Amino acid sequence: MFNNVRRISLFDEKSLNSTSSDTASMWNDFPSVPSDLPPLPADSVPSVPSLPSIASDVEVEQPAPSNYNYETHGIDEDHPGLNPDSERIVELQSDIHDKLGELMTNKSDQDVLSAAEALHGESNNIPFLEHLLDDLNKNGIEGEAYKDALDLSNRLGILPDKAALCDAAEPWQLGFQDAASPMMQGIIDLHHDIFFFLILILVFVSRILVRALWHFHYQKNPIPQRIVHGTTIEILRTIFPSIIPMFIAIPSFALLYSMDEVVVDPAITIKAIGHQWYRTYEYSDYNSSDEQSLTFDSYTIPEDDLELGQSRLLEVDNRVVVPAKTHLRIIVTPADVPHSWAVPSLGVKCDAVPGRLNQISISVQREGVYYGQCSEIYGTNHAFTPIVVEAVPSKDYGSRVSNQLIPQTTGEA
Amino acid sequence: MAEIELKTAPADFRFPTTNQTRHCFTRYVEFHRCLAAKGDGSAECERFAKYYRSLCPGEWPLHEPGLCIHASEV
Repeated sequence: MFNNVRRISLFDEKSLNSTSSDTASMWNDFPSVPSDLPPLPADSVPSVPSLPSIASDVEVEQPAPSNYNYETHGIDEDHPGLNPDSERIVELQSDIHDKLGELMTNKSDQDVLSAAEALHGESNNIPFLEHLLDDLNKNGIEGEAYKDALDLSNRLGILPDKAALCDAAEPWQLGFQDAASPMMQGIIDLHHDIFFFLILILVFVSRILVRALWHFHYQKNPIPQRIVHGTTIEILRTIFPSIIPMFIAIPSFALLYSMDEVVVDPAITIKAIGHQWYRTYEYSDYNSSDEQSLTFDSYTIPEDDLELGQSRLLEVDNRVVVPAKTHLRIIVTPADVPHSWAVPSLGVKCDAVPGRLNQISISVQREGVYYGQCSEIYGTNHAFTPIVVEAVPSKDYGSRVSNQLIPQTTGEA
Repeated sequence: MAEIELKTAPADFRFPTTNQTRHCFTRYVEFHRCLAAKGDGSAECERFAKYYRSLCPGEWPLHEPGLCIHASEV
């Protein structure tokens, strides 16, 4: 029955014109079920006796190459709402996941799930899924399927413990990115403080406005009352609005002055130099002569060269590597025209003015990769000069920097 | 080079604001004054050298031949 239906939908001429009663061989020649075909809904498939146009000498009950029993395809009288096709697909996907879980013994559950999803790719193609499962069962770690699973999951860059944080701009984002420095956390807290008073004032003013419009409607109330003065209300409406800004000012000034305070000596100085249209970063704490310090250029990765999972217009080839939980001094300056160095997650936006060195003190509180973009227009490619800061554990910082020393600089002391 | 000692020019209270241009210049001048006073290659002056190299961008023409003489006379 399944064979007949497939022939209708794909118009297999060979089978229509054939007089052979043996369709088992035809099934072998038949191309594998395309995955873009949706599973046939149960109620669209008529039962066999009502298909007179198909070659009537075609056998109905043919063993399919897999164990799947196609006889029950279509309306399942015992369970009319179920679609055996999609049941089978889900079963196969879950078997693949279980088998991968057995094979990938040293990975976390989240990793296994992501690898399984990458491997079967939510496919609807039953023979494909069965093939994957067979491969995993028979060949285990040596097999193609397992290798593909690892390969795909590595390429997609699965980092389960970092997956939930927002350190780059998201589409249609309304709120802030997650804070990674005490400055940004302070900014977010201040925002929440002010927002409370904002809503308070908004609701109050809207209520008064709507009330006035409602009660002084010209038809309902043609003669509005004229009130000349009321001492109490005038005093109240002067005092209250002057108290509210005080509540707003206290956290605001506290944050403002604490941002400027440099209590601890910085451990590292990084110079972020802007050019048209790329950035250069200099780590000059380590050179012992006037020769070049660790300097590298940071160009954006063009759209054509992006890999799966990377962000468009946000990725660069060489990231700024900084140690986490360390006080940094970033000196921002341009080589030619004014621009701006901004990383929202770290709460940093510092303009770069030619001939001037602007200093910002930050301390990145957690490891991760933080994205930002140039914030001062400076020519055609202003939109194509992002900033990527990568915070690594302090103990790894030394090796990361020395790894970059070798390929990047020549004659470095 | 697995362990890099993390040390850099300290936060100078003479330059508390965002603009550190004068800081870079002052460290540079201090270095050359030290050289003029103590002679070349002295270890003390190396400290000032590190400071100005940390702060001043590499592209700034601080190594012009005539500049050093004028700096030490400032």
